[in-house]
Amino acid sequence: MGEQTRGSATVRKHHKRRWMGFVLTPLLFVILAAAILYELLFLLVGDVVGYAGMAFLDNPPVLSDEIRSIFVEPPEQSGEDTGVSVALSEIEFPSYDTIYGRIQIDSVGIDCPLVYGDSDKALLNGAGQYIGSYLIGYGGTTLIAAHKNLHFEKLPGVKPGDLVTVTTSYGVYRYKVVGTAVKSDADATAYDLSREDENIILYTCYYEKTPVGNVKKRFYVYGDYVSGPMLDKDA
Amino acid sequence: MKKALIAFFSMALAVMMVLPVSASAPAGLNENEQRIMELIRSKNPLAGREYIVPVSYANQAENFFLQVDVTAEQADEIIGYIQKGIDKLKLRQDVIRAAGGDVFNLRGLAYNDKKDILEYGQKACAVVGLNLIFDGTNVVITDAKDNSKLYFSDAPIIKVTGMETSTNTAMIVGIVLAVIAVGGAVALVIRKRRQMA
Repeated sequence: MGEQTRGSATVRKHHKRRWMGFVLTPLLFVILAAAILYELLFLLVGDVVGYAGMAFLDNPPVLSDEIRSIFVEPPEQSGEDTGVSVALSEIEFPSYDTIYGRIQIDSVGIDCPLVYGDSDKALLNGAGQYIGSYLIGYGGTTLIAAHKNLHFEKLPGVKPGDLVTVTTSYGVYRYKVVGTAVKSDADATAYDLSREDENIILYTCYYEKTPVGNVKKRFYVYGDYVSGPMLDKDA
Repeated sequence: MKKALIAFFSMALAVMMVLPVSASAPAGLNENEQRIMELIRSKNPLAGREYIVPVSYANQAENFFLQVDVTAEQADEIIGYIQKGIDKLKLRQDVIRAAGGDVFNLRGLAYNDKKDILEYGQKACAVVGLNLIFDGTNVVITDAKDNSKLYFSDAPIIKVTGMETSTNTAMIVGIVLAVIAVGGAVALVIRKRRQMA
């Protein structure tokens, strides 16, 4: 009787092992193989879909590798006081991917060119300004990005009260840091492009450990205008 | 930027640049440009809702106008083109799906309607020597003679500013490692059980 019980238990165990060997394991491999195929096909099909979308392209942009610069250091102490203005008609409006200034944050040792436009090329050459934000001194929000592993590596060290200095050919501007924040890259509350007062927003990627894949968080620094010549829109 | 943003807003900006404008030193917006900007920044009723051009789009238009001079006649025509675009959309409002908030999604439009709007914008841009393209992901407007001069893009506002390891590559590597690990574990279990038997 006992041997029969042990025997049937062995048979059940054997069946279980066979079931695992012949069903579960292949199933697992099929799922994993399907996942790999999906990823590979996604890469291939994704390209094809992208090319199909290019049916609209008549003349795709050919961006040159050069970064132009119109930045010239202004005379020392030029127009740092509030109340001083510069005629908008007297400055050269920077074209896309053009260096037109310099950003310095002495408290953390940041010192890099300011580029109008935030293309990949611009971000390799300095801090890039989003073209849907306004020129420094125009009287609105200037939104500026730079790579965490290049020009804004030390941005997360910036504290409220620190000074951000932006030097352009038409004047030197100072902004006092009034706050910092870590937000998702999809969080539109992180910036306000409709403000009508002079202010600056700097951002870079934020992570505590070396990331794998795209970084979703950004570190923002918000600065309010302290000094520098405002651009006179009527002149 | 929201993926659901409609191409129309891009087209509208292209339409605004429809007439020859003379390049000039930057100056504030003249009366004509202000009229156009007022229209761009206004709320427009459509499909039972009100839509606005995203601020980031409007700011790009304003930055463009700072670099040119638009005459009264040109402004009238530009405003006419914008109105024409809106009227066209109104004819198709039954298929316009509201994406929520104040931004509409025109994915419901027929292919030909979208194509018409795009071609309309392209032709309008060509008149002023600008080039509008849609690369399958983004709409961009550049100087037709110098593609490095970009005036508009509907690409996301917040850029990638960190390491650029491909997510797909990372996933593939992860899956391959998982397969190897699971395969190794299964082989080990089978081997042990055989040894025990």
